[in-house]
Amino acid sequence: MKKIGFLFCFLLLLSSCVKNLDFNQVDQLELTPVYEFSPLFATFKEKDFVDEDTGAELISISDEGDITIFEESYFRDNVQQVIINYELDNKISRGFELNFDFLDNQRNVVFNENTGFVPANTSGFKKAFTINVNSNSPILNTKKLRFRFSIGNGLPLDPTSEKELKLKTAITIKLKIK
Amino acid sequence: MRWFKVVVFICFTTFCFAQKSKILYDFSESPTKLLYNPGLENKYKLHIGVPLLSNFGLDLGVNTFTLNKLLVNDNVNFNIKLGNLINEFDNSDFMYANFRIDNLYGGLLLKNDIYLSFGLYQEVDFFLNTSRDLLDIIYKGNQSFINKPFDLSLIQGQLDVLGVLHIGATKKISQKLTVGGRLKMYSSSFNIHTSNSGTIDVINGTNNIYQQILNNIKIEANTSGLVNENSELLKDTPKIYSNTFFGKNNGFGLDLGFTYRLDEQFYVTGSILDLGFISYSDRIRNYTASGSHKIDGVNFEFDPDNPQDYFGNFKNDFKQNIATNETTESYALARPTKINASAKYSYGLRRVYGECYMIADQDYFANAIGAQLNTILRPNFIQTAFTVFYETYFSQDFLAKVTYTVDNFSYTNVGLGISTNFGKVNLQLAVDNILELSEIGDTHNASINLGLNYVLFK
Repeated sequence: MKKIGFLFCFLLLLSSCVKNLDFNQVDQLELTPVYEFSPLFATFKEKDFVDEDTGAELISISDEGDITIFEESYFRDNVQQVIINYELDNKISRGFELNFDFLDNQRNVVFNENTGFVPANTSGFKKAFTINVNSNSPILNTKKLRFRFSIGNGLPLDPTSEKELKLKTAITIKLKIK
Repeated sequence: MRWFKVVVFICFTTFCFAQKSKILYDFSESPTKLLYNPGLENKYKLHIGVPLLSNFGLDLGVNTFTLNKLLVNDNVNFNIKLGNLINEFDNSDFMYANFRIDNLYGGLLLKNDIYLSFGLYQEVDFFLNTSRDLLDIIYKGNQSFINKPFDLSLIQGQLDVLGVLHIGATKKISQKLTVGGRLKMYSSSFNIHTSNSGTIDVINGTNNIYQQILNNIKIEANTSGLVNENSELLKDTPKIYSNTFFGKNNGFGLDLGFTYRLDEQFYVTGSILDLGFISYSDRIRNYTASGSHKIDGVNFEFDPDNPQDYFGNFKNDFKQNIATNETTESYALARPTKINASAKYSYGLRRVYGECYMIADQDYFANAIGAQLNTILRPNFIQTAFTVFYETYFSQDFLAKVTYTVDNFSYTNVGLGISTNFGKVNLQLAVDNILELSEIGDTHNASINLGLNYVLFK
């Protein structure tokens, strides 16, 4: 009987103490990770701003590439902010300004950033711009990114010069995942 | 001794969970002990396990996480608590769960003094490395990994649902040595396994602000039973558990064990369990990625005469360097092998029992002390528990064991086990980690084990 009594007490008091737990708190879960990486860069020489055939200076040159990340539903649903940091090293003998054009399917500019004038012989020019997706929802329609360099006035460009202009970028993406 | 009885009573009537091997290893007259070491001394003539109750066990463990840290109703935002909790993790943290139930377990003494034991049990085994780095990547992103490599080998995990058919033999070779072995046939109905290596670095670059380096990465995820031939995800989850026998995923394993008695009062034991593998071939879907690649980013060339598909080229370049594959090829995995060892010294008043109930020689003494080492070989590391214990008989058929364990989860792990007999039916219960279980929301691991067997002794 002692054994049965012992086991009965064991079964009766089998549970431990548990504080007031609220499992509904899980509904508050909100992840806000921030990812940073370098997606794009460009390097050109001073001679690239001179037409090889005619020797005429090019006032503006541009190039563009497809952007597919905004087509990903997971990214579209969760992206809050995109910050683009860029660095420019301008060793050529003329200043310039650079435009970042975000283009939609119809080649309309849905977002633009202008660097302002970057003087000749400038190194370590660093800047950043922020795109808040909530207040710039057309950015979600981006299909292409175009860079436009516009050369400023100044000394004549040397078609044989190896002096370089370098563009470096890093993109920071802030997500909010519920 | 009265104080000890009081302590035992209070503890057993307050706490509910038990951890299996630390307490059950070489404990009591229950034939369950042969499942942890087939080479243990015993005096069984016959045993028949009560179906579903002969050895029922559930273990759950996680290093840093506790329910109270995250879910206690304290008006603190859940995300703040989650962030604080993640900050407490480190890269060696992991979580595991193991559920095991015997469908059938029995044994009988053969004429040549070999004790044969056999049975059929089902097991669910889960393990996941919950490293701080991985949680940081998911919860905070990669900013804290700029110029600090992320080690993919920190992502390791496995979930297995299987049935095990086993037959074992125990033989006393001499007065000093007893040995045993057990053959196992595994049949798994469901498996997910991932094993990875290599690093991902984001470092300060030359051509660009950062350079991304995939350094000798090998990402591998194997699944069996997760998707069907039409690539549809499994829907009928209860079938996973009911299909654990005689399926297409089969394997074999071996348990080995021994007891070596140095004198009447002192002996050592050792066992190695689940030394084997399972070959998976049913509804397989494997995903792999491997290679090395340095990524500066897409290089815009501003050549109007030669317009380029930059991102198409980028993707192709990536694919050339990092080979990805999805296959349905079979694969084999080793079972998580367990290694146990113990030393036990018996002392005190030598008890003599009546003919109706005889226990093993080593338990003729009223008390015993000893130490155990229980290990599980997990991916990348060894899950180890070191235990010291004290055993005593309260009466001729009421045995208790108290343990103190240092393991991956706690330095204050005190456990208790009892074994008692109702006629020829042995009941075994065990409790572990009782200091944390006083408030179950604060515990890092919890488990319960029950054994109910009809036993005839020699």
